[in-house]
Amino acid sequence: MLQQINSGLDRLLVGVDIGSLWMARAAGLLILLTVGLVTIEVLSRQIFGRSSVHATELTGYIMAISSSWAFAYTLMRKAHIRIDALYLTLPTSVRSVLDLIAMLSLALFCVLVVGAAFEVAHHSYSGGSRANTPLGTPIWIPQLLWLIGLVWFSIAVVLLSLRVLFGLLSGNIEDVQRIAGSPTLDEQIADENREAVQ
Amino acid sequence: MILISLIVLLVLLIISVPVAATLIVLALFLDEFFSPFPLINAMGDVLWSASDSFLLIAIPLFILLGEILVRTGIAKSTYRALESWLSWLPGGLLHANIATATLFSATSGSSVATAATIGTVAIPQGKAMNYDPKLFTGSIAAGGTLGIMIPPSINLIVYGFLTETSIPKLFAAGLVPGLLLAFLFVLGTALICLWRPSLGGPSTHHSWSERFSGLTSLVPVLALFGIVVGSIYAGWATPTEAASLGVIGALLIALVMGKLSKSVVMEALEGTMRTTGMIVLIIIASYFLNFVLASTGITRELSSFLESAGLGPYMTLLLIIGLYIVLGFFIETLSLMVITIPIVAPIIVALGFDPIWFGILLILLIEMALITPPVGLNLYVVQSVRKGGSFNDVMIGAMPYVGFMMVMVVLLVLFPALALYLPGILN
Repeated sequence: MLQQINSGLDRLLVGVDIGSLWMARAAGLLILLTVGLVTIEVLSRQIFGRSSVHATELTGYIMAISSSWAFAYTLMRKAHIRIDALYLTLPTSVRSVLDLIAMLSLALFCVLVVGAAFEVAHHSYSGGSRANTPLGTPIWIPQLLWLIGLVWFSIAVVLLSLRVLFGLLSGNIEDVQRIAGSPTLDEQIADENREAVQ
Repeated sequence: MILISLIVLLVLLIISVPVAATLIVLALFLDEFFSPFPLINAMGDVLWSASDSFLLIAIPLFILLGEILVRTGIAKSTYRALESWLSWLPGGLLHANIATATLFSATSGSSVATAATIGTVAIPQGKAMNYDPKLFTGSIAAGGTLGIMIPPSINLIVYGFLTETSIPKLFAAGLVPGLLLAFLFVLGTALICLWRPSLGGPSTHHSWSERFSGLTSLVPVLALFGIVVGSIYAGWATPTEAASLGVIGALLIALVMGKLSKSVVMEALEGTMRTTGMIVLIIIASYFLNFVLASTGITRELSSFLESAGLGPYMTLLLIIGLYIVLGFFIETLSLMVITIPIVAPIIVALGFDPIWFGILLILLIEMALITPPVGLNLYVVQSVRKGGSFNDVMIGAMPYVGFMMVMVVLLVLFPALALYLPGILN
């Protein structure tokens, strides 16, 4: 029974992993778009003496959206910061319990943040708020896209929490370490160096 | 009550609850017990206004700049050029390590990335020439920390964002202390190697024609620094705009070096988003904590408590410096910043210190935290690049540089103008 739940969750998590990568890539492309927008803005200001693409407003939205779309990817790469000075000295069984606590606290974080973000977006939509700028963007549009990233992050957090919980229940501590353990120093550093070596 | 919240904070951190979640939990705890009305109702608006930020987007842009630059391979030619100019000094290659790190810091906003880049290029050279590994690795770990002091600096953006301090002014303030610190590193290294030549390596000499022909390979990095930092100092561009121009510059360098491809750009973007997700999650959490602390008046209480303790501003400052040094042993540096800034920065300002000056002092203490064990990420990065040998070598090798940083802390406290002169001119 537990085995079935675990393998079902594993299959879902593979999907979340892929989805998160693509959302992060989309977010990255938005950042590249920002580079283009802002560069055009600077050039047009220097050359024609006026602003042309409202970069300030758009890039603000892009920041909110692209970062929320990256949260799940960061989670799946175990890159959200945990202070692991004590953690790394503990036996794996204790670590796994701490991993569960970590995931549950992130889940609590998500419930609060998604709830708050939903209210903000809903309020903007029903109130018809527009940005106080030349573009006059209906503010719910960027807020909805921002919310989507947060919701996706929450889905990833909830599935991972369940996987850690059932992994613990079925006594599969190695599994828990693999999917939710704070990355060992070696792993973190390998990440940093892989980039430098290239 | 403040004591209880502090205990809650420490316990959550020690049991390795993710830092972002810790900050939100703490904020809610304080809200529950200290606020006359529920601040949680404002959470959505606070988080949105923190995220919807033209300023904050400079962070992913600077990360992207670094991710692309690392993949262009210009670190190698830069190192060779600087080596030809500096390796006659007692200590030889050690000075090339520091100088290359200094130059890369001027285009990179991250210390860890700087140390990894320099380490990859320098360590094979050091091995080939039989350098004593201690100072050699120590100089790379320490030189790398300059990445967050010499502008651009991601950590200074975080500080500026959380304290509402001008980022261009912070960037101006970091330049002189950063260069002075690099100079202290070079001077100190030379003195150590005069005293114990075995700790360094052979001084080598290069012909002037070799030196001058090497200068051309410095052009890309210097040009990039000119674009990014020059445009901010000149008042043409905001940090975000300068970062965008810098990304274009880095892409051009990659193109010229023949390294620009779809896969390189994709990898750079993925790396950028991974780091951005990590940084932004804790920043917005910290921003909310900031809001709760300010609304409940806890920061005011804390500062009046400190005033009534009668320690005086400089004694309090000394305590705070000590606190950072101790916490820096154990807490990862970005977390250390976002956890402490909402509490410490208002106290410092209330004591009459300049927030820009304190930003630079804080960065210096963070640099120290990066090379003090047991949690000093730069030490581990350098150790892993060298593949083998005892970790103690790196730890011991970095010690003298911790000492030089302490000297710099004293200088900065005695002469605040070191940081404040340039931003003053900008006005």
